[in-house]
Amino acid sequence: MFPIISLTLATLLVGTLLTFVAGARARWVALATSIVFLFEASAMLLGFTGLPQFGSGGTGFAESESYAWIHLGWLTINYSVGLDGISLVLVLLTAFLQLATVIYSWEESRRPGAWFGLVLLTCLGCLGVFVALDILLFFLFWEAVLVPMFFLIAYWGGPRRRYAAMKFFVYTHVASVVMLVALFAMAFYSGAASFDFPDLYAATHGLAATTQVFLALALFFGFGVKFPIVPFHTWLPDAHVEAPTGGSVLLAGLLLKLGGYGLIRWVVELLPQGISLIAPLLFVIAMVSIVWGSVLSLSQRDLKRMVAYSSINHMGIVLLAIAVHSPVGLMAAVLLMFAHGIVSGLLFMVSGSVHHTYGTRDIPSVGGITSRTPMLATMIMVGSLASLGLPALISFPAEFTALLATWDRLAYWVVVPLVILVVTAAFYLWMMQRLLFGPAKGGPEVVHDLPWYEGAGMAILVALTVLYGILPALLVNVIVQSPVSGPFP
Amino acid sequence: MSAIPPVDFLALSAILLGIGLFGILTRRNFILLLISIEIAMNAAILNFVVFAAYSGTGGGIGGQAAAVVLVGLAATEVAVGLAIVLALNRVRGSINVAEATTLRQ
Amino acid sequence: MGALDFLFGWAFLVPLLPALAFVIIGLGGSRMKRLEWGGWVAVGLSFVAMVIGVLIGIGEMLSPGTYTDTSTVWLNVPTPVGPFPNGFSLVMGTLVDPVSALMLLVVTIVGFLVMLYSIGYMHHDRGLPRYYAELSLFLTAMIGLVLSDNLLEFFLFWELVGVCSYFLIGFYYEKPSAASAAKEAFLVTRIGDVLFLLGVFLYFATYALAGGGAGWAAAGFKFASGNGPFLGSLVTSASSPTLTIAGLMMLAGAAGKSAQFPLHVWLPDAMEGPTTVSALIHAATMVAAGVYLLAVTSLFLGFTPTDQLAIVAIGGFTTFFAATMAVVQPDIKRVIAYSTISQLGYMVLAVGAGFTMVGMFHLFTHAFFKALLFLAAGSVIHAIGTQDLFKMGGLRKRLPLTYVAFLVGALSLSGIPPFAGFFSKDDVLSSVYSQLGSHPAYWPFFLLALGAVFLTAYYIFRAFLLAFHGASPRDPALPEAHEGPWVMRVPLVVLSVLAFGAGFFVFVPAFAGLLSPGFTIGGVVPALQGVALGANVPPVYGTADLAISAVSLALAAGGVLTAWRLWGNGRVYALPEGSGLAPVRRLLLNRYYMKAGYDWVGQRAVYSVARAADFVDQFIIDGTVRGIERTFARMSDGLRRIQTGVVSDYAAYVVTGVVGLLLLLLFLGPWIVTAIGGG
Repeated sequence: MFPIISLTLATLLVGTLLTFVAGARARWVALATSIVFLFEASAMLLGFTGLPQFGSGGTGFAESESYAWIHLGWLTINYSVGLDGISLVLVLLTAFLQLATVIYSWEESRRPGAWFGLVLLTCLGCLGVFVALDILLFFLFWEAVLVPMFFLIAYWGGPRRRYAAMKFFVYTHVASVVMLVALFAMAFYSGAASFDFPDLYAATHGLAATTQVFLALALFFGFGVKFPIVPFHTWLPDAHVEAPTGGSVLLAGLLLKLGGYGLIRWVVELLPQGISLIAPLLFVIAMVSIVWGSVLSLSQRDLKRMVAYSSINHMGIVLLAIAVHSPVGLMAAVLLMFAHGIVSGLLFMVSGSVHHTYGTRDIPSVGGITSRTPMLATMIMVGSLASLGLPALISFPAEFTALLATWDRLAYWVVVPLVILVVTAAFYLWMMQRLLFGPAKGGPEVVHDLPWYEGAGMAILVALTVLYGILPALLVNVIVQSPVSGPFP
Repeated sequence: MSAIPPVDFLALSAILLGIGLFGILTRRNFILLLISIEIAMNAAILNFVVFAAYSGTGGGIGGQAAAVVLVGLAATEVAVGLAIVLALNRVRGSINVAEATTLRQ
Repeated sequence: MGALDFLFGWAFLVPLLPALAFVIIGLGGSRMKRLEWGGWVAVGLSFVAMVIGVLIGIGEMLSPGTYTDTSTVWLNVPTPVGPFPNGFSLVMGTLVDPVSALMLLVVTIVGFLVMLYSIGYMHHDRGLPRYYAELSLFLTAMIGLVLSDNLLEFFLFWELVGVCSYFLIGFYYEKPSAASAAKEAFLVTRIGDVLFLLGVFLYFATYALAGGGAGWAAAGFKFASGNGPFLGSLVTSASSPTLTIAGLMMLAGAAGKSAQFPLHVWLPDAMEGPTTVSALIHAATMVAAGVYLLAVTSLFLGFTPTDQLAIVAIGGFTTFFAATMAVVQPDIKRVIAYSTISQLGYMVLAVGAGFTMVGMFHLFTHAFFKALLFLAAGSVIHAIGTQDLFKMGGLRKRLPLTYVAFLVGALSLSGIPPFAGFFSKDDVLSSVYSQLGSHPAYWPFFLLALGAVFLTAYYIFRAFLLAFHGASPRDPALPEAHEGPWVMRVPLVVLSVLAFGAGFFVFVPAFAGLLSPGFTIGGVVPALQGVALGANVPPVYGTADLAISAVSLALAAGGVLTAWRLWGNGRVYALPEGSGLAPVRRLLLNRYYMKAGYDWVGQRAVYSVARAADFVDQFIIDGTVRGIERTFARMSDGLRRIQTGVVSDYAAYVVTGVVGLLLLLLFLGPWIVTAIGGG
């Protein structure tokens, strides 16, 4: 079989290296890499017809590749990669966000070579996480994401960038360590033949319930910090506020998805008993995150901080849908992760542009954006309306199915996220009222509307928001090609 | 064949290591420090050779080889060490290691 | 029939035509040489839409029936969920049946007339392309809502019309009041929307397996489910609390959209938008969508008796409640806005009492006379540039056409025969009256609705007399008034004819067929009057209970006369000093302090909670994190003292460590080996 996944990883790797050394031409290299990546992701999508079943030689993954890597007597580690519907959708998301980020930061003047290289490296790490089927490979990519993101925040960030970068790094790293120990424990306790996902899948289901619960708890902590779940969320607002725009886009759009993906791939699929036993805890945490994120967004003055807290809210809904632990719930969770990736990317881009254009992100001190910079205002509106769940934009089908799945399992508890939908609408509308409407206020005398590259970066995301909002089936038909979110047993 | 028991060689090796360690811990002059390290290293090389010689049939060649590699390594180490000494002397005008604490900051 | 099938098959074109206008104007409107050209594109396409809409309406009159076209699967969820092992799918389709045909007539006709009128009304506005793009999008969404063939598609378009309304209310976005009103409208209806969504879930659960083997929800929440049994007939008793709650949730959704108590506060503020928008969205079509929701719910899903009582209560109370506030309003548009709330209450009342199609008939006539009133008011505002009734006066001579148009609208609204409003309002009252015997709890709400007839006639004629009668404007600074251009006059004339004559349609058998209970949905004859009512009383349109007619006519005439006594001939009535009514007047002007209360809840209560949460987040949760961080920092501060930077020191540590480790192994090693039990 044609090794499309390895080829894509190699493309990104080569692109990253070339970008680092390309100096002034780095952006062209980055753009070319992104376009090739997008083509490769599309090729994966087009070539994706269905999944071979587990067992009888089938790995359960399409395009899967496996090569021997580290073989000791008692330890078998392979280079194994593969795709199912869930990872394919997230790979697509990575490709889209990478392209949009590269274009958005086209005129980055501070060390462009390093900037674009780190952006590409982050995306490479995320891509690796989404396709890795081996514990060690997964963990390598998982950690590889932290490093470029740390430098993106620490070098290109705002005034408190050192603190924020350090907090981000330490927080998520502590979680990773717990996760790694739990992953190894899972592999060894189950006596799996190798660290490969299919082998683990065959072995971990036989683990005792208590073991599953402990492993699931540890892994949930590891992945949950990335989500982030309340109360382990305080790194997120700081990291976002200090991160440069492109860093925020990747942070919200991709890094937060790693937690959700990890939870589905390594906990829901491998420890079904464990996850259903700790589901009540997950429900509570998800509900708290939903409420907490939304209510806090209402009180924020900084546009970026507001969007950051709304991410906590949305990822809470993702967690809720995962915790429901039904196929439709997992389908909704993945769809919502994709939707949130696109929409929060767009919202962080507009936050950045508001900052560039008006010199501040303080919501009360700027007004009348619509009459001064109509393009920017339009982007803010599309992003906000998409985020508050307007039909025909991408979040709606995701939130609808997520809530339907929640209703299916929790009945009237669905009222909590439903009521919070009103609060979510409230803070976006209030923000738009203050920022977009009313007489011109704040900012410099003469303002210029979006430069072409910022507009183009946003336009990509807006187009996706509308396209997948009108035709969500394009994504859903892919997502359900998975043992857990699909009609397979 | 040989009348000297291996314990004697090992004792010599231990004495060499002791002298080397003593030098490393007490000298502040970089060159003396390097010399001490070399002495300590010679103890290790001596051990390799001794065990190679006394290990009986066939197996000894690995120890000899290690000794040769270590001799080469010692040479490169001295080269790097002296280069550092020169650089240090040029930058700070002194080769006292107790003063070279910039990296701590 | 073949020709009709062909026609109904093209129904999906109707929403797509304004969508095309939206795309053209949205992309190229501001680049056109003259901004009106974009407007004419919208007018032209909405005219074609109207022609097809009217043809469909006529086709449905000739041959009542249900035509569905569910070609597009919007979202297929092939995963097991709830009771469906094979998942379910959500489809996008068009449904043409008598109810939607009736709504389609209203939406396309009023839509086209308002589009045309706007050419004249908005010609001076630089935001004309934006206006027409948003209005076209609204028309798309509204027609889509009308033609929805399932509950989910309905919800989708329901939200879309809401957001179009948001944009259009905030059209003059530089005015802070307009921005605030837009936000308020979106938020208040959003409350209804989420409850509506909960209702959808509840119906999903209840009717999951209904409607034959496939399952109603599995087949996509469809309003008409092929040859399956009519869903409403499954409501067998009042004993299903889930269904009752589901019905109440639908009522909440409808109350949000149709501005019923207690979610009515947004509609008067929505008058911040252009008057044309008020005419189309906040009088004729979008606010009627709530009533339409109740109608399709009662027809296809059914309400329990408890739901019906709640609906009657909300509707009946709102008719009177809103009318009282209209009585003291100084703003001509707000008078009409409160009147809209009140009239929507009548429709809700009728649907609640089980007479769905009576409510729909009132919706039909109301759309015309209310749009007429708004457009006439717009003509006044266009001419003199103020909405304050107390500055107007004597406009009769200057604006004769507008005068007649407003008068026709006012008479129709007041329910004076033979104007259209008389027929429909009378049907509402007499049909509710016919239920009083078996439902005594309806009594107070019936009386409130009856009382509102008097208030309605009074407030609309108060506004009419203040604006048009008298010798000259009370504010001399007002500009000379002139009638608008022909594009504004034609819609006034057409709507005047409809507001006068729409009531007679019930005597046309084909039209009455749209309203009659005999048509079939999905091959069975549904019980249109609400399934919970055992004995259905088919309303005989136009020949209602004569006693009720007499009472309501007397009340309406009394209202008109009272208005004439107080305000006629340019008189301006002021409450006498120290009158006991002064506090009442203040209460009404302040809208029963409900808006202030909501503002307090939103701005003070919720926001304070959010601030408090922010404090907890920053200082308690993040404070703990920082505390841990500081503890580690202090520990490392202590430890870093031994990092002297002197190489020899490090060497000493290494040696000490190695020696220590060796000693440890020497003494502990044997013990460990025995403890583990290894070799």
